[in-house]
Order: sequence, then structure tokens, then C-alpha cells
Amino acid sequence: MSSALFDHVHRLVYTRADMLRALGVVREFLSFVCFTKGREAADAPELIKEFAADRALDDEERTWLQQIPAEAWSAFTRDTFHSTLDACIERIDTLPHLSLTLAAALPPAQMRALGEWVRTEIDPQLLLNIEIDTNLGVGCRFVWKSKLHDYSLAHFLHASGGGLRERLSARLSELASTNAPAE
Amino acid sequence: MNHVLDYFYEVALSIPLGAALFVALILLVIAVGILLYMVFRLHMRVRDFMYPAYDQIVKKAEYEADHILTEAREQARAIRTRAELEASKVLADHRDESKALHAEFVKEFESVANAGKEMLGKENEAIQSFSKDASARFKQRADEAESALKEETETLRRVMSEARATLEETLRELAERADKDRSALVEQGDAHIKEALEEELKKAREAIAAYQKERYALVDREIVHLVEEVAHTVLNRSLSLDEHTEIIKQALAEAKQAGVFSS
Repeated sequence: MSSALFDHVHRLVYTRADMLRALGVVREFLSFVCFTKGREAADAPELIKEFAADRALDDEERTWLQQIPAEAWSAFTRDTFHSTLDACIERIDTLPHLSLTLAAALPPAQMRALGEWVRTEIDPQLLLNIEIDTNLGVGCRFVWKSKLHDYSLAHFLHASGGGLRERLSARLSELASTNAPAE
Repeated sequence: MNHVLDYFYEVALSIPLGAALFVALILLVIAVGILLYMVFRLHMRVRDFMYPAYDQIVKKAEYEADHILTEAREQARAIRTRAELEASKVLADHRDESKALHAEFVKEFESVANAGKEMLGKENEAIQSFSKDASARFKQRADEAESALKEETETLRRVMSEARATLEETLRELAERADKDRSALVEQGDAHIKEALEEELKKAREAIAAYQKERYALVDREIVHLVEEVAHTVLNRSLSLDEHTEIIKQALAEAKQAGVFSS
């Protein structure tokens, strides 16, 4: 029964941080439903709006709760939802991870686009670990299977055909030869 | 009477055994107390009767003891007087003996002193004769040494004049040869200096060229680095987040094409 919720959340988010945040919101919501309101977990869909208003959830968090299907909620009980969510958190570490360092922090829309691309092109189970390093310029740097791969500005400058570096070196050599002192 | 005795027996036999024993014990204790008191009184009377005889015996013993002590003191005094007389006699004998020994020792000392005087006189004579011989021998040796020294000085003077002449000749020859060598060396040195100067000049030119090349390479690297930094800054500021995302996708696609994710 934890599998259904986990799969839903996994489909909704693309980074490890968002995954943990989403499971945290679910835990808080179920506490609200079962203990604050004294209702059953199956009644959760009716209480999402009230909970979002009460806890001042942002749009993204409210969307996550709304997109979880009703049958996933009915699988929980007030006695078991904590242990079920703990099992979900442990399961995160079993998924494949891509540690990705970016030059700038991306907003949710761009992050979603990147996450979808990664899951389509690389691995449908993949979770991203995002870090920011402005020294990269553009592109990214990532660790895949314990190996670092650099696809930042430096990489593009080196890789471009007839690159800037070579052209500058040639021009400077010309200057050096024309300015060399006569013997 | 018989009637009274019968009554007594009757009463006595009617008392229980424990009570009878207790009464008997009390009677016994009273009897023993009376007996002790009588013995004490008897002892006191006997002491009172015996006291004069005892006093007389003690006085007699004291008198005898005093007599014995007096006799002992007289005997001791006589012994001490006799011992003192004996001691003074022994001391007088010893004094006479010491005097005799002293006289004998003086005599012996005088004889030893006389013998020593004689020996010293003999030794003095022997030393005087030996010193006379020694001074005569020393004078002879000194004369011999003086004549030998004179001979040696003469020989040395002659040798020195010969050596000086030889040295002057050698020096003259050396000076002539040095003049010749110096003029040859000067000619040779000029040529060497010219060659060395040319070599040094060539090396200096090469070093300057290498240094220039190295500096140009350094400037080259610095400029390229500067261009990279400028590109970083410009790209960070001018690229939109969509463009950033696209570039990231391109980078990941390139990595995928390069087979990074298949390994």
C-alpha cells in the first residue's frame, strides 16, 4: 500500500529534495486528517483545501496533494501511516541518483522540464541531486557511477572547433614574432 | 521434757528438706563468722604480747650491724693508706729509672752526632774535589766547542755566498723566461677573451629570446583565462533560465551520445 503513494509522488517530483518535501507534506496532512480532525484517511481528499489554507501551502505542495488519487489515501490508517511513510523514505535511497551541479538555480517549471527529459532519455526511475555552482558559467557538471563529468563553459570552450583558445594563442604568437628584437 | 523433745522432733520433721537445708546453711555461715572473729582477736593479743621481744631483737641486730660497718671502715682506711705508700714507692722507683734512661739517651745522641759530623766532613771534601774536576772538564769542552763553532761559521759564510750567486743567476734566467711567456700569453689571452665574449653574447641573446617566449606564453594564458572569466560573467548575466535549461539538456545529451550513461 505504500507502493501506490510512493509511485505517485515519484511521478510528480524529480529531485531527492522534492521527494522528501512531498512525503513530509503527506505526513503532516495525514496527521491533520486523522488526529486534528479525527477523521479517517479515506476522507483526506475533502480536507486538502482546508489543510492548504491552514498551513499556507504553496501552489506546488497543494498540487502534489491534489494529484494523489483517492484510493492511495484510503490505503492509510491512523495507526500505520507513520511507519508506511518511513518505509517510503527508506525506499528513496534504492532509486538511481544523478548528482547534477548547475550554474544557476532553476525554477520549478524548468526543473520539471529537465526532470522529464532526464527520465525519458536516461532512466525513468532517476532522481536528481541538484547543487548550484555559479563558476560553471553554463552547462552542468555531474557525477555518474562515482565518476565526475564536466560539461560546463570550460568544456564548451575547449570542445568548439577552431576554438577561442587556439585562435587567441595563434594571434599572440604572431604578435610575439613581429615584436621580437632584431639580432 | 520428753514432751518438748517430741514436739521439737515433730516440728523438725515436719519442715521441708529445702527449708531445713537453708536454715542449716545460715547457721553454718553465722558459725564461720564467729570463728573468724575469734581468730582475729587471738592474733591481735599474740602480737601485743610479742612486741617487746621483737623490739629487742631488732635493736641488737642494729647494734651488731653498726659494729660491723665501723670495723669495715677502719679496715678500708688501713688498706687505702697502705696502697698510697706502695704507690709513692713505685713512683719514686720509676723516677730514678727515667733519669738513668735519659742520661743514657743523651750519651747515645752525642755519639751519633759526632759520627754524623765526621761523615759530613768527608762528603764535603769529596764534593769539592769533584767540582774542581768538573770545572776543568767543562772549560776544556767550551774551548773545543768555540773552535768548532768558528770553523762552522766560516764554512757557512762560504756556502751562503756561493748559494747567493747561484740564486741570482737562476732568478735572472727565470725573469728572462717569464718575459717571454708573458708576451706569448697576452697574445693567446686576447684571442680567448674575444671568443668567450662572443659565446656569452650568444647565450645572453638566447636567454632573452627564451624569456620573451615564456613571458608571451604566460600573457597568452592570462588573456585566455581573462576571456573565459568574461564569458562566465556575460553568460551568467545574459542567458535566460530557459536557455540555461536548454544548454544543460544539450550537455546531458552530449554525455549520453558519448556513452557516459550506458557505462
